[in-house]
Amino acid sequence: MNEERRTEPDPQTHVAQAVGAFAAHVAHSLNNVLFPIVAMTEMVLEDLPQDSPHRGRLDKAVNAAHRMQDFITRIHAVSCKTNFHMERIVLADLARECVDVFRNNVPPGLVLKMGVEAEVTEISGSPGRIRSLLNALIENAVEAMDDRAGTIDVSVSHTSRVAGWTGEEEFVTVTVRDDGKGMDAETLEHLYQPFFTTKQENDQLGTGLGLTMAYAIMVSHGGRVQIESHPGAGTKVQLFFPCRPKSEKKR
Amino acid sequence: MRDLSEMAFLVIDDNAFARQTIAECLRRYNVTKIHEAKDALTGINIVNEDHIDVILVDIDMPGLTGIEFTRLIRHDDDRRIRETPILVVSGHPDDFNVKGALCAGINDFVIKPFSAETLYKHIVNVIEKPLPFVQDGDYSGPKRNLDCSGHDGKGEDPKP
Ligand SMILES: Nc1ncnc2c1ncn2[C@@H]1O[C@H](COP(=O)(O)OP(=O)(O)O)[C@@H](O)[C@H]1O
Ligand SMILES: [Mg+2]
Repeated sequence: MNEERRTEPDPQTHVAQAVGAFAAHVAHSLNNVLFPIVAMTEMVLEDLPQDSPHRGRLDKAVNAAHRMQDFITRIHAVSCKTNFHMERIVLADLARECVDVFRNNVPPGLVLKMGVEAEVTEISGSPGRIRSLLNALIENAVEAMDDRAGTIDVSVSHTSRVAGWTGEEEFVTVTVRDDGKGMDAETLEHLYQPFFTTKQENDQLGTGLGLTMAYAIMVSHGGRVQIESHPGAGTKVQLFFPCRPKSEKKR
Repeated sequence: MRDLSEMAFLVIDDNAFARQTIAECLRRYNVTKIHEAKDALTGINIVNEDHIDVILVDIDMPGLTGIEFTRLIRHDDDRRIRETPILVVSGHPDDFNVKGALCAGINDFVIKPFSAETLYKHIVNVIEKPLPFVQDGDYSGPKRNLDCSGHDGKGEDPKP
């Protein structure tokens, strides 16, 4: 290998940056367009009498707008891998926040549990992106129940050494486990592929971007995602976030 | 519920839909004094001419960005202007550029699309739980513990 100095940007980095900038621009424009739709419709909905026949229609409109918002966030997180705001965060707090939001909305019969072992350990991460990521995983777990009763368990713990991974020693691990329908080998193989979804029914329409985004976000945090699942036996998704010792925090 | 009816708001956003929607959200919480500006320079003129209690500003705008606007306000000679609460309203889907905005001295941020209620809660939080205002070297704004190296306004702000 010769040690020639490069002055030109690496073409691949260049393309990735252009794609990222494009995605950020598109996301920004679409969110601006979506803003009046979401805000105004919600205002009307709040003022509508409880028994109004328009309620159901507007609920659908708001849901569609929120799905659109998810879509935009996911496309953006997948394509724009740099330039977001990293800070010291406590994953346990973030996970608790996400679980609490879901707890108010889960279908009856579904139990959402939260267990925390790593109460205070900090990692370096983007709170906005990690929130999107956890929401996508919990959403998948809820959808895996197919409206039956079941349990979803979210836990935050410490892990030392991840199989097949050298380099990092200590991780904060977020595990999302469900006892839903699980996945077959075919599905497991295509999991991270953009737009791959098995949810094609109208009442459960997938974006196929949840796990694609999960993967991209974990890579940009220097972490990993592992998924174990069997048909009928539920699914376990684990996120490993490296937690560097305090001395290495500042460059 | 916190009464906002006597407070004057300034909304700076290049997108007319966004401006109107924010104004509509504010009116829902009985705000009557709403100034609108489509760019930061117009916003600065308004701040100098009228008494403004709270500023809502977009980040990405032609001309001065919301971050540059915030820095100008935070270094104004007039203390009343300098310490005006500033909330960023951004259409960026995650917290992109939020660090730059925090380091410029904003009080809080809300990401579009948001509901009227969400905006109201953020505004009330900023008004009722103000952080002490500090001027520390280049930084002027609410007191925070943030490492702002690279976000001191001397280099270029990161582009999306
Ligand atoms: N917890 C889970 N249980 C069962 N299947 C899952 C789970 N999470 C993901 N999947 C499968 O992986 C596919 C891709 O997931 P995802 O990327 O989140 O897209 P989407 O949920 O929009 O379909 C899903 O369509 C589903 O078949
Ligand atoms: Mg999904």
